[in-house]
Amino acid sequence: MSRIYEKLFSSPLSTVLSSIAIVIVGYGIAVCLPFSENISHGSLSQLSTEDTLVLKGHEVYYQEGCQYCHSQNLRPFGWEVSRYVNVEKYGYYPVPTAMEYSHETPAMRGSFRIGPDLSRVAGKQDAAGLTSLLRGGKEDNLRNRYHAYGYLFNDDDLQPLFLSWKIRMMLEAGVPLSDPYHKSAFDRLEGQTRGDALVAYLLSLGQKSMQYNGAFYR
Amino acid sequence: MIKLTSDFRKVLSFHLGAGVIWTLIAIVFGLLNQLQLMLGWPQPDVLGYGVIRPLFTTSLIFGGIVNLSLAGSYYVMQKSGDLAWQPLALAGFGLQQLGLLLGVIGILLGANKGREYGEMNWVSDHLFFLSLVFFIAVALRSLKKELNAPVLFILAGAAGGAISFMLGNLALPYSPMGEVPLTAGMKDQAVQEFYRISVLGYFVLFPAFGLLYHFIPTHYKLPIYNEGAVRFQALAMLALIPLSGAAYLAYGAGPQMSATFGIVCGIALNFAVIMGAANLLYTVSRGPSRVWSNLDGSYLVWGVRFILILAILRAISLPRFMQADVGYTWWNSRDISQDALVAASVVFAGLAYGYSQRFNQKAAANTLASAALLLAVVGSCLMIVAGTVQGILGGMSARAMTEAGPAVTSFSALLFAGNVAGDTASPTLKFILGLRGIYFLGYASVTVSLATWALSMLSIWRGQGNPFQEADLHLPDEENPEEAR
Repeated sequence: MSRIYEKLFSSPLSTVLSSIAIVIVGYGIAVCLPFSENISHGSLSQLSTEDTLVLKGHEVYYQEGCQYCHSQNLRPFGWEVSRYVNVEKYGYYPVPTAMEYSHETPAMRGSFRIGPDLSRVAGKQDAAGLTSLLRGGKEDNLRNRYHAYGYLFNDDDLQPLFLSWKIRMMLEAGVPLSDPYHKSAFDRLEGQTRGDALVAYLLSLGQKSMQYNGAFYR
Repeated sequence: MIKLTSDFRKVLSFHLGAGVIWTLIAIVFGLLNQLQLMLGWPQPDVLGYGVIRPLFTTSLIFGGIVNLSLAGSYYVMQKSGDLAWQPLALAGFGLQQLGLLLGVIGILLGANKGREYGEMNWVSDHLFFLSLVFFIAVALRSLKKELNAPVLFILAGAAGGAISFMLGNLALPYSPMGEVPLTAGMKDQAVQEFYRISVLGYFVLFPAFGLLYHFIPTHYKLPIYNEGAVRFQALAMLALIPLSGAAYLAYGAGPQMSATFGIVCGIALNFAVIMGAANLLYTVSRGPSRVWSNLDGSYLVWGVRFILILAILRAISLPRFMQADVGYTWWNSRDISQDALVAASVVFAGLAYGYSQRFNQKAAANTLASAALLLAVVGSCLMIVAGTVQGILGGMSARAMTEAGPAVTSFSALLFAGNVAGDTASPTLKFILGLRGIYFLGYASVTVSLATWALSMLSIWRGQGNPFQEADLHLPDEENPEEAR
């Protein structure tokens, strides 16, 4: 051990270079190696790509800081699935799969549960319910106090030009989107508000899995 | 080669001053955040919970702790060699503050990048990264001799921090404040976990240990008990930090083999931290009265104790079954800002006292500084105990099942597990009359402590107070234990 130590840290320059090399190797082992294989196989890959409004909603989600209260990391335990999934309605436990998030950058798994997990919110709430929740209800309870996001529904500046550039960059980064797709941003965002985009995003959480399972069981 | 200047007092003072200011900004944001949660008053929009939270973490870690640690690093390097390239160091300071300021303004304007602890926009990221490169360049130019342990920790931490900061924030810009990360889906989650633990490891723990390994032998004349263990610790931490983040992919949609490997590395990493903290505490125990005779020594010992406690808690909460039970409840080992607030702020506050007092030859007002330490210790203990117990109770309530489904169906019941106000009480009352209220009390106490610390730092700079005296190295209890008895 002392020999390795002496070799790596023999001078200031070798210390800096060794530290950089060790971190890069660590990054390769922790991040690159486990994800080196192509994970876009399977039926879910045949589902349509995310709607541009959903991509905008994803942006609104992290700009408003929803991830500081809500996780999207449903774990495969009975008690957790029962709490966050409408099992009676769907009859199965749709634990999230990596495929569902292939279009999502940055990832929004979150690290807090000050609010409930949102991985399967599409199976628990509809558009009207989510809109009402985000606008903040009249009742004085915790849920309403924490979600006074009514102003999002008055903000219709969705900046489609920036979104189209963002989609172009997502393509460059290897996100599986098609080229004509980013051009549709202008039409799709016309007349929508940031609140609508956020609702569209929330309604997409768990949607792919339900579509796939629905098709499979049919 | 022309050596431009060797007077680094200015750079050191600037970093110290900036560290105090950013810490003050952070505690204001942090307290506001906690009040928002407690009063059920998140008030979204400009200063909503989701906006203030990243402002708090960014100001605390990248503003407060990084500035204080850079001040300490220059102080230590000055002792180890002739510092050169002061203009570059000053330029690095300027770039860092500009980057942080732009980052904070960007977050306020809604340009949150969506990555925890990496919320700043790409312009800020570049400026901050460049400031770290400048620091490394100054260090390389200044240090020629074989490295001692403290300088090794500082240099390895800076290099590891710079490269992990770059890897964690790799992105393609598409607008003045917008960017797209180069990774997507679960791979991006793995990057985020790598980055989160790297921020804690390279920006907080590495400089903290480096400065402690310098401070205790130099100013208290207590040689580190096990020098070999220090070298082993540096190498182990350096290698294990990037591998440990994957631990938090457990039970998720990511590769589970990788998560298991991350858990093993994470536990090993925490053992390396525990070993380092134990080494320091044993060193101090060989001459306790020397360290306790001085204010900054008392701070340092408490800081090391908190590092030890938090490393033990982190190691215990890493295995899968523990993550399942307490992960995502109030005690959350993913929340590295807790470590920064509880342990690191005590260590760095003590170190900052150390440099300022020695530079200005003025001692901090004893009453004020002692009160600050007492508040920090009491507050940190309350936060750790209340947060841990609440996390365990929350986890127990979450997994309790009946035949019809979860025994506790209301999410707010999980959120307020451990409160005595009853189900019908208002959310605010539930918050106050429970463990969360105790946690808040601790939080407020740490906040007041840091504000008091900042005040006494100000009095040192203004040259007020008594002349500074080094620690008493010849106390009766060490020379003649029987006399002391």
